[in-house]
Amino acid sequence: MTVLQRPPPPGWTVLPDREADGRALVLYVDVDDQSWSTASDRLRRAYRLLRAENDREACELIRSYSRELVAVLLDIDLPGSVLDGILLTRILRGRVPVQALPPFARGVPQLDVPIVLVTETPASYSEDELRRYGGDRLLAKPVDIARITLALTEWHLARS
Amino acid sequence: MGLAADIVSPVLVARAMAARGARREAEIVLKGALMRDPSAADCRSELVRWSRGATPAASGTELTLELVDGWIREGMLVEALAVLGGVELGGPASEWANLLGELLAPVPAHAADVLVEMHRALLSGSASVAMALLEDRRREADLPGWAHRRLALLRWMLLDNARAAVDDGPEGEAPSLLAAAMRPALRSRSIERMLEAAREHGGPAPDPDTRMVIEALERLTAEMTEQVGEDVMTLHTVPVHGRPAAAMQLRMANFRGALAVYRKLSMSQPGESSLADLFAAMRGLSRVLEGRPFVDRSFPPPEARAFEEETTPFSKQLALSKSPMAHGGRPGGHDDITAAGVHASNPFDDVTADVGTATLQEPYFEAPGLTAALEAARAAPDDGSKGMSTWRDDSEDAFPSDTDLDNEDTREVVLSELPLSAFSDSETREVDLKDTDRISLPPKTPAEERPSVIVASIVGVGDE
Repeated sequence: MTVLQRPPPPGWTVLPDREADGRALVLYVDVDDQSWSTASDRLRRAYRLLRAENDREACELIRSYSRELVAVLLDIDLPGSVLDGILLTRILRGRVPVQALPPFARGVPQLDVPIVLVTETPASYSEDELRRYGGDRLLAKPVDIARITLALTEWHLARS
Repeated sequence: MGLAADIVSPVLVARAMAARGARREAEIVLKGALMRDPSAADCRSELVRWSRGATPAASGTELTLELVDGWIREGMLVEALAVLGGVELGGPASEWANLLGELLAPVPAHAADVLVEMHRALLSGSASVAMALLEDRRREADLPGWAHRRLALLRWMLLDNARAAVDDGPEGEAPSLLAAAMRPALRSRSIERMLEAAREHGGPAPDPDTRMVIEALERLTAEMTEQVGEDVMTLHTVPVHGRPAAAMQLRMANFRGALAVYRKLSMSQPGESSLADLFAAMRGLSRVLEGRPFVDRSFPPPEARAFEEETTPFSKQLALSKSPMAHGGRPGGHDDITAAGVHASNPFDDVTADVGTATLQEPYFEAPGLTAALEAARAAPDDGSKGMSTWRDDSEDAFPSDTDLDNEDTREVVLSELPLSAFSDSETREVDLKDTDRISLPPKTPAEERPSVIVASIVGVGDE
């Protein structure tokens, strides 16, 4: 196959040596350290990741960085949190009445960026249903850069 | 090397992907193709069918890395990423997916406008424009680290990778002597060298096709030089729209992109004859590279008929298309202003290779009597019962209705029902619309009785 004999692309040999080089900022909400580590390794070429380990941290980071985020990745299952990924999605889309929100989630701005829900058991969920809650895509863990970018690209295409 | 050899229709690929369970990614292929060229009616039509619940048609298209490689070199990056993300291709596929994933990733929220435009260009299939934007920006200001990496990736994908591809690509057999003569220049992606090769091939007395190719290349070369100069990399302002953008596509040897831009421009400015000339030149050149005549002589425009009848065997087919719109045709519109025929295998066309009829999909160059009959059919009440129920001429609604698509009835078609005023007889044919979308009539021997072009389309034939 001739394609194997091409000159090596720069991406294979030049890794990003600076974390703060202005890449697009993505919030990743996941309790599991192993998942976070894998996602961070895979996505750091193109994205700068913020990590939240639970619902409270997620709300705080969204308040602080809402204007810089280009996407949010939410694990559906957030053990130890009051809110799971689906509830957080509904909150970020402004679909939960303020009086129904826990105190730490009040004042969280609505986001107009893609929300990608991730899970280890994607077959347990209906993507159409998640879309009704405000999610844009359901992906299996561990995520990789191609599938994340494809999901975000689909969102951009729909907006164009 | 045929340019078309690397390029497979997005519709066929999407169908193959859907058959392998990658329906979502297949839709992205179609959406990406539409973003790249909004006039790609075949992709739009396919998406409409799918959204209405239709099962994607079978496709024998093989999904391979070579296919993806060809798309990348043509700047079809979204479609390439969708294929890599949807199906497992093995080998370096995952590496390629990661590279494309990085390249197409959104820019930071507060990125400079030119970088936002760069990302938009990437998504819309204008990778060479995106690369020029980054080069331009780099000359004016420091690029952030991520943008440096994307520029390096783009250069690799569009230049290094492409050169390696044409260098180590299969030789194959050139479709014609003229195409063979231009092949080395085409490999080096130089229109100027193609012009030199065509002149050398033609010698002092070139044949008609060679002469037309030379004239086309002269026209395109002049336009390229006038609009973007000798080296696109030295531009201080990067053309993103209009003729300069098309010329830049020419300079970058992205013929498909250039043809798409010229098509759009000539459609949006029908009174601009120079745009029509450029589009005609680009289209004719693409035909010759495919081994076909510069001009499709099967269906001459009316003003050329006298000459063509002396020189060209005339098609004697009557094509009955159940739905020209479903095949990518657009009633009332005409995006081919140079040759009436639309050839499905033209690499520069947006028509898929499996569209129903390659004869003629629009009435634009029809006999005057056909036009009059179509007007009459359009004005007739549509009771959904008999005959040509509708001839829709609404370019805003270029897709058949569910009724149009679902109608598979078979019934006897009487020629008098059809707008065939040029025919003098009243032959009747049994037409099974399930099995075929065209029938052939026996030739009429006296030349003066032959209609210039006879194509009739039945849209939404009602139940008996």
